[in-house]
Amino acid sequence: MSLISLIIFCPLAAAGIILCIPNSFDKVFKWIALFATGIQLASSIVLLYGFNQNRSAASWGEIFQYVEKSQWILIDLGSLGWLSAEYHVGVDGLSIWLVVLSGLLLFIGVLSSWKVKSRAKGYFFLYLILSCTVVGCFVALDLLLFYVFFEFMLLPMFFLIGIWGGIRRTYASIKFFLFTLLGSLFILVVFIGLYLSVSDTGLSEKLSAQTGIEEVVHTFNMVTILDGNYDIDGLLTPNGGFDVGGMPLRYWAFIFLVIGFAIKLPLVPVHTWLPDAHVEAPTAISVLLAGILLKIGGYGLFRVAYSMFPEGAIYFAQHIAIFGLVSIIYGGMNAMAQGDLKRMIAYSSISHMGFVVLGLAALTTEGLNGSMFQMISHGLISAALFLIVGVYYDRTGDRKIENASGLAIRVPNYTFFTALFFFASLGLPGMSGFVGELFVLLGAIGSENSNGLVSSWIGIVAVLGIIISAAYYLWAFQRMFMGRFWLRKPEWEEALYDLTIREWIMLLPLGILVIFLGLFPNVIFDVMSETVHFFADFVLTKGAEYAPK
Amino acid sequence: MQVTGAYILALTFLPIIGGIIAYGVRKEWCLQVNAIFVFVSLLGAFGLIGLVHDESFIASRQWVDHYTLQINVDRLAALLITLVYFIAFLVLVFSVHYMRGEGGVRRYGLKLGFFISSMVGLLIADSFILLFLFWELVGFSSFLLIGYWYYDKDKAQSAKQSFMINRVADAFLLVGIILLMIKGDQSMSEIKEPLDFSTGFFLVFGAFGKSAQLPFSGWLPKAMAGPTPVSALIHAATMVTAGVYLLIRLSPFIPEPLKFIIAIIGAGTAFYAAFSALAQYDIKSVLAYSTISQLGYMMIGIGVGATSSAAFHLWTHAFFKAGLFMSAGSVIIYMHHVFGHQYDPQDMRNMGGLKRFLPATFIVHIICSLSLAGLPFFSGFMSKGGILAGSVHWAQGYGDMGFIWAYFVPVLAFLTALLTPIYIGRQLFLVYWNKTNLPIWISGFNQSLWVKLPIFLLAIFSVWIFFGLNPLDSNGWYLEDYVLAGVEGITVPFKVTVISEIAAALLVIIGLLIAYYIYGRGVVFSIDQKRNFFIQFAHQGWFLSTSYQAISTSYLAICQSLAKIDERIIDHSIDLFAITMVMLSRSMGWIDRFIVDGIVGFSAKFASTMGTVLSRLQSRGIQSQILYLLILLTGIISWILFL
Repeated sequence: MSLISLIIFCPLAAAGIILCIPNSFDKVFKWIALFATGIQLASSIVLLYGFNQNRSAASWGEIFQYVEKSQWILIDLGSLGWLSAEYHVGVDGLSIWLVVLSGLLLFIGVLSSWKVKSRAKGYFFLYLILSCTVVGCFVALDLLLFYVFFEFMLLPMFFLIGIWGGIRRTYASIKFFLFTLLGSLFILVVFIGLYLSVSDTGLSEKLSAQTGIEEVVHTFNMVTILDGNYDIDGLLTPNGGFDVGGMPLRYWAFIFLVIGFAIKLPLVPVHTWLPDAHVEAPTAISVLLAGILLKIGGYGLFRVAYSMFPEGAIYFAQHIAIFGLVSIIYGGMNAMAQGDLKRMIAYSSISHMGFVVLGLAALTTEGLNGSMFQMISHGLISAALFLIVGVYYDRTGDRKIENASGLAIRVPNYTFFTALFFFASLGLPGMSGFVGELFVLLGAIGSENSNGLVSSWIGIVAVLGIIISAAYYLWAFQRMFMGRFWLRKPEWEEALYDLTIREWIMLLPLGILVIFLGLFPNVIFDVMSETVHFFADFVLTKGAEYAPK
Repeated sequence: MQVTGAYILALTFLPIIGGIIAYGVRKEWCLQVNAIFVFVSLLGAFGLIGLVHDESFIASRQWVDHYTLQINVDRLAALLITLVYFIAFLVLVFSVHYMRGEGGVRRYGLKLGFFISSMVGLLIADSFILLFLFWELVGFSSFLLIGYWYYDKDKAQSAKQSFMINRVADAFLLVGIILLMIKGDQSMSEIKEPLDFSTGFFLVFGAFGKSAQLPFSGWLPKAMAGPTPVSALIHAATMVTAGVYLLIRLSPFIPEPLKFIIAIIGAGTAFYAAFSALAQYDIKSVLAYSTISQLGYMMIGIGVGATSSAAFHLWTHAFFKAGLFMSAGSVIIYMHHVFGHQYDPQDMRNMGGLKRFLPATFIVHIICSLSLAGLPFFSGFMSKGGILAGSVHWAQGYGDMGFIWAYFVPVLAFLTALLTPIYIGRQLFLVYWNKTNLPIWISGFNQSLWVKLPIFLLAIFSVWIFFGLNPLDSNGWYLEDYVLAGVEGITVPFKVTVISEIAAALLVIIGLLIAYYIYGRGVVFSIDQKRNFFIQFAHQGWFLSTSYQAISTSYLAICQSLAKIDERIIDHSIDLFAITMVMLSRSMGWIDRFIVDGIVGFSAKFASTMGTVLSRLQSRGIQSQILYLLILLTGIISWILFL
């Protein structure tokens, strides 16, 4: 069986099995989920192992590995030509690590859901659906397929937050749903535009031969689009001459895509769904939300917005970099003001995802590498941080920073992990958070002299981010973990115990990975370097070529 | 080549490995195990001096594409590594006694091992990434050690504050490093041409952070919250010299205007700290401010081009300041022993007349103090002399160009040379001579040999003969040629003049006399003595901490109002949008129900009414049917006839 399909559909099959098991076997569901995500994790590691990192490529068609392709939809729309969409999946250097990251976090997420008691069947069913769709998003090479996965993700997310969430779960889930839906509409419009402008010549000839008349087949195939098979008079054909409001239509399309993915990322000012969703979501869902779902926004920018509209990337580089900068500073300063630990970490996510955007905007090799690395690193660290909050919340049912102090005395192991991930997140060298930020900053500050896209001052101001993040993490750490032992309510004290074995199993691998990747980041970089180089060259050269004359 | 590399690597990581191993050992023995590991490292470091004698050892290894990690052990690094291990070893020996009875000794040993390894790593680092890595790890491990008593809220806060201030400076360093790396210099040994001003500016201010120069000085007094042996190691001899070390390495490439800034800030810091030290009551605070002041001297040395003197002063300072801190530590042990927690064991106002009870410490404290004050025949005189003379020479150069403000630097430097003996003399008189207002004293307190031994060694190393043959020759450092050959581009641009040497010596003697005159004649400070603004100003370190506090408070206020904006405006506007949408849908719904639906309903009703009406036409008996038929026919006929 094909590996990628296994990774995508194994949880879906497990979800089907869960449906067939009666509710009374409520202990079985988590084991099934664990097994399914375990297979996902194992096969994604096999995928990584077999990935040829040295494969150099001249076009996008050659870059993807493990490609599976078969016709999915082919219908005759009459005068509109044929509509073609394929089940087309594959991985390259940009997506491979995100697939592995998803495998790991989905597995850990099941462990952290171990204590879900109420309606376990529904919970794990939706969880497995989610597992299927997030991975599908990273490997889809067909816009329609991507969009289906991208949209379908909302459904389990909506119910997981809305049913198993906290007090304001209804508000949070609806907000999350509507926000993301709005983003996807922006994306959908552009996808349709792209579909109308690109045709699959190979398929057209085949069909023409069959029917005897000339047929046009429009396709959602990403590789076809990436390799530039635009129609001469397509709506979004480069230099096609369609202007709206004095700006080429392709620039608008780029802006739409950036808005759509920025909501997912999230970028200030479209970030406000995130703190609410995080605070209300159950721990495991927060982990997935921060660890994987936000990365889909970043991945979308790489894969769709930047690759398909390189001239927009170049034209708007400075603006996007400034949005990244604002996110870094604004998110960090907001985190400082939060009294709820989970909310603080949610805002810190916004701040750290700002680095992803900043590195991407710079379009230097360092910046792109740093941006990708930051996604992986943030995936690990933020997941761990939400687990950390969950551990405390499980025991006390509270998350307020001011309601506890001196926890280090009572729960030393827990404190150790908290300190580890706090310092990792504030960018202490030797841990993965630093590497991502260093390379993003190298890229952002160096961009002015290498490709001239982003001014140096933006990167220099972004360095403030490392001070800001240190401030809120240290302050929170000092208030909660240092000082005299004290808890707001005496009954919490009995409930407070140190990490259990299950929690060690969740946190320890993340801790080891965070340190390992901080010391040996080449493990990540080597695998994606060919793709990143190709991507950088592609965006810069095609950007110049597609630029409106 | 590879053997040497492995040797250096082993040497670097031995302390942390020792810390980890000692963590598994019984509590009573863990620090001894640590000490053994550090002692082995010390022996290894001596070997290292021999190894790099002829040429410095450079090794590099690829980290990621285009970025290498490189270490460079030259003579200066080898010497400083030896220094770190030497002091660290003594500190560990001292700690065995000092930390007895404290909880979490193993944790202490582990953190200390972590610190020592990071510090050595910083010394051997050549590529900037590696430098920054160890630079931050040094700050981080220092945070862990300052926060050793983490359950004490004030100490926890101090730890946080000192890490934060360091972090701010580190951001400067990071920018500087990135600017250099962008230009293609990945390591310090690759720099071949002078830095441009902005790059240099960021690097210099980064270095100011670790070396506690203005405006970052405030963290060092805070760092005194850690155990005293830690202060001796980290906040006197090693970590704080990191900035000086970096600038010594970079000094050939620092442009002249920046050197001017370094000299000015160094002089300002030296004076600021010496002045503040005059009004401290905490025995360790005096020493903390004195460290800041001496670091200021080193900065002056770098700024005025007396770089070798700066390195010399770094070297001598490490010994006498570690000696001073450990003396203070043994005083604190005694005070703690006598009074427990009843009185503050670190407050000098509670002390007095201790020379009878702690004779050994007394002697060591005096020797180290005199060396700090810069009395001839002590190491401090030699190293400080070079810096003082250099500052005069440098100011003359600027003065000749008509830039008279440059004299600011030597004036402050000499003024500080006067203040130094006053504040350290004050400490001696308060601790060892004066009477105290506390009642009970215990004589016959047996000082442990493990306390006496390390401080004696440090006292011995405060005497001139271990540094240079001629006690009056500031350029007579044995190691001067040795070190200078290691760092390229450092030369001695001037000869130390006799006049400045005499002036320095005189100032020390005058200072000591002033100290005796003010504090040496039986003054007793009571704890609740009122302070005038002037003393308060000095006591608070010129309100530097207060201004940090103000900055952080206002920053927090800004953050909170930003969060309000986020909640009330950005989020609210989205909620408002949603509410508007809902309202809109509701009104659409109303329209739908009452107008669109209404029309439909009306037509339906109309139809049904009409239907009912018309259906009546067909319902009643045959007579009415005929009647309707007649009416209809009449109507049709009249319509045809009349129209």
